Amino acid sequence: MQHRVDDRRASVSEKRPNPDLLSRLARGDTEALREIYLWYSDDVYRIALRLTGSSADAYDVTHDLFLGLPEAIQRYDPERPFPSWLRGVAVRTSQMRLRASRRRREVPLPALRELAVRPRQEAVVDRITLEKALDELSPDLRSVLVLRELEGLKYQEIADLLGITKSATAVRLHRARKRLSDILRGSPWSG
Amino acid sequence: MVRLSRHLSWRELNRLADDELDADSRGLAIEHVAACPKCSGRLSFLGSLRNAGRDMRHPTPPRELLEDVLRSRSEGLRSILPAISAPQRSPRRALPAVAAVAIIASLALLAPLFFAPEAGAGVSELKFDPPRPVPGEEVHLSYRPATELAGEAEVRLRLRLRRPDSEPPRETLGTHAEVILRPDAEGRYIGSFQLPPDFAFASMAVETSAGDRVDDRGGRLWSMRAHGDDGTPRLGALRQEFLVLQNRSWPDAAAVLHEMTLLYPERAEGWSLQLAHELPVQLPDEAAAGLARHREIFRGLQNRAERLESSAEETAAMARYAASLEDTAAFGEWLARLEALDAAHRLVVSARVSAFYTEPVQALAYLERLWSTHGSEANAIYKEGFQAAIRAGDRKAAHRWALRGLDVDGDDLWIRDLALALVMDPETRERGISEIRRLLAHLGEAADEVRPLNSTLEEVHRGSLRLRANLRVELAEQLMASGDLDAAMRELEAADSLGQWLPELYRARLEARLLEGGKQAALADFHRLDADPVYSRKSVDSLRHRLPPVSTADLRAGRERAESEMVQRVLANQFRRGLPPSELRTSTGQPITLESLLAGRPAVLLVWDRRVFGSAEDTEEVVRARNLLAGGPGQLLWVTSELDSESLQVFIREAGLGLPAHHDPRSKLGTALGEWGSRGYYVIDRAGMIRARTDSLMEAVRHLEVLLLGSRDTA
Repeated sequence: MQHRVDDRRASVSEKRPNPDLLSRLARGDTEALREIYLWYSDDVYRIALRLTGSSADAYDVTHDLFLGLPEAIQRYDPERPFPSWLRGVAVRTSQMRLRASRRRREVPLPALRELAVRPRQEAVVDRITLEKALDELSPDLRSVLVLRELEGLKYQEIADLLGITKSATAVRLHRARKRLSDILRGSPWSG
Repeated sequence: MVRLSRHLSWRELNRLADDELDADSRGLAIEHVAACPKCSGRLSFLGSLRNAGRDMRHPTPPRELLEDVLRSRSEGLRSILPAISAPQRSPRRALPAVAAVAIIASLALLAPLFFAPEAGAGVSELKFDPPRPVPGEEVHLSYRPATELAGEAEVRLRLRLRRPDSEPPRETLGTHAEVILRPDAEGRYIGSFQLPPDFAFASMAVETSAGDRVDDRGGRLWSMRAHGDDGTPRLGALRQEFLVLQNRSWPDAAAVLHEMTLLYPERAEGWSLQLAHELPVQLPDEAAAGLARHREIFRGLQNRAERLESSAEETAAMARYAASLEDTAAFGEWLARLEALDAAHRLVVSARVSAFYTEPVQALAYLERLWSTHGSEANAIYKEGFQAAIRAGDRKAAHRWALRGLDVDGDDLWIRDLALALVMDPETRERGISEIRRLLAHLGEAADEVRPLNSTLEEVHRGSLRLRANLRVELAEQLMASGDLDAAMRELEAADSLGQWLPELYRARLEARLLEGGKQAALADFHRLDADPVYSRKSVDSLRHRLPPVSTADLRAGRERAESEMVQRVLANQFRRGLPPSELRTSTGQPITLESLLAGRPAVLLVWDRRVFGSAEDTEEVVRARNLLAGGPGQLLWVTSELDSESLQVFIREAGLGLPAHHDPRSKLGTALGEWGSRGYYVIDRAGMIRARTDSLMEAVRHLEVLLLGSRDTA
């Protein structure tokens, strides 16, 4: 049941809200905020969780984002697609969160060392390994990797979201992957 | 094509994996990778990263997050979000962007200093654990009181529990329950409560154990929904929440329906209710677009329903949806299906009786048959039977149905109507009178079972005086109609002794006196009606011809005596309270305060959302109030939680309101007045003090006029 609902939300989240809804949101209309939340909170929370790696931080990021959205919407350029603008706010807010405080580690280092001991021929990354290894990346590298591998964005889209160039995106992405391979020592990058 | 004789660089492999190479480079790279184990292994690693990413959880935010956001906003908290500039294409612009993030990050840390909650200590909080309870579960409650209830040895949480199939509510309906909460070491009041297995939705308020002070969250009340094991709100919970909210807040009710359609898109109920909720406030173009969209959804649901067996409620929802879409063929089909599933379903009963509307005798025959097989299963049968009998003019049948209704229904308003009908017949009169007497006692007791969650014992008792007086007048009118003048007069005197100013009473007593032949005795009540600023002048003029001639001086003297009595009775219930802070908007969006709107003139403040309370009768009453106040010192001010829109302007024009709307989009004024989601009429004097609050607009107008009369006398 939950999956069905999630799938539906994911499929509708690219839809642009109508201008009336956004103008009501800008006036602080609770009903409009509730509606926007129902449309986009899954996306925001997912991005925040993947970028911060902590459900507590993801909760705070999502909370802060929707708390400040009626005021922030006044800076939104209606020429841009709303979902990608909101995604950008989610990314920036998550990055701020990561930078502002050292996040509580949910995976202790010994566990990562365990993960690292993998035979060379199993040089594949499963979901759990990836989730835990992402924790070891810096906010900048983590952001670019998450947006590429988990959110499936193109280099230019990532560059736009992070306010960097396309080349810088490519460089960061490589560094992130290289760093991951260092963490997961059995990977082919170490050879 | 040139073959690559070297390993792919990191940059090339990344771009290959990310499909960012141009076509030629891509072809060369793929050819090389196919023949190179090292590059192939690296590419596989990148692929496995992507696959792992795809497999990652699709988390959903915790259910309480939305409420948390809305609560924080309502408490005045805000956050400053990072600015998202236009896409950055130049590396030189990256630095200012990073600097901006840093500045904004530092601002975010300072934000709580600038946006401290205004209400702060005045905001109470009620939390449940688990926050998404399932029926039958034990719920732990934790209440942090506002200043008003702090320091109590214990407080009482009152709940109105609703089942998934509870009928549309009035305030007193729903099963009453209560939990005693006792303070812990941190000053929170805690307790626990076992939810019944058929629980769907609850509204809650906290009060002192003596019931003399209530924290009802500014009139909003707290609420709790039943959830499924997966944490999703149950359909029945959303249904009941909508039924509660539809009489209080149009946008909040719409939000529940929105949630219902998101969570249960395959069920007709959410869509059907959404259409019925939105259609009446839409402009023709919007309505046409909405109908087209809903017809599409309805077709999808119909196709799905062909393959599945639907429950009676789902079938009823499809029938209602078809009716809202004005698809009579589909409505007939779904109604027939529903009748096969549940012949006594209230939709079936009301539809069948409507079909017999011009032939009430046939309707009665149908209902008699249904009663014999389904009897007390559905209140809809007796209600339709009682009304059809009255339409048919069949007094005996009406009494038979009334007696049946009294046996099966516990709803006070229906009991009143049924009992009053029984008073008309000598055979059933005693039963009718005894039911009315029971109601009169019931109203005065303010028992918890019937006391609204947001009212103190004293408020209910005070309000009950008027209800009791009105009920006695209604009983007297029935007794008069059945020829028992003595009994009628006793009821009228008893009503008068309750100290209310009631033109209906004076009119009934005047008629009773005329029937007795006491024209002179009827004059006192005539003077009262003449003095009343709201009572119809036309009625007063026509009464004058039925009474003995009176000199102008006697007329004036009688009127002055009546005015003096009216001032004393009407002002007996007044109070004096300052206006709460207000942040209203004009229709052009300009901020304006209530004080500046008042401009030193006395007023009736009408807090009214036409989307909730916009019946033709309500609208006509607003127009009448405006006309009554026109030309005098008093004014009618209208505040609505609805934002300005073309739809609202069309409504104002078509209803002939002739009043500007002042907007309170967050219902802050209603909440500050402790009346969120209510239609309230407030009487405000020249000094800007609230002097009365009533549920009747005409009473508010009368109170204002009486206030002016009193101050004129004083001057």
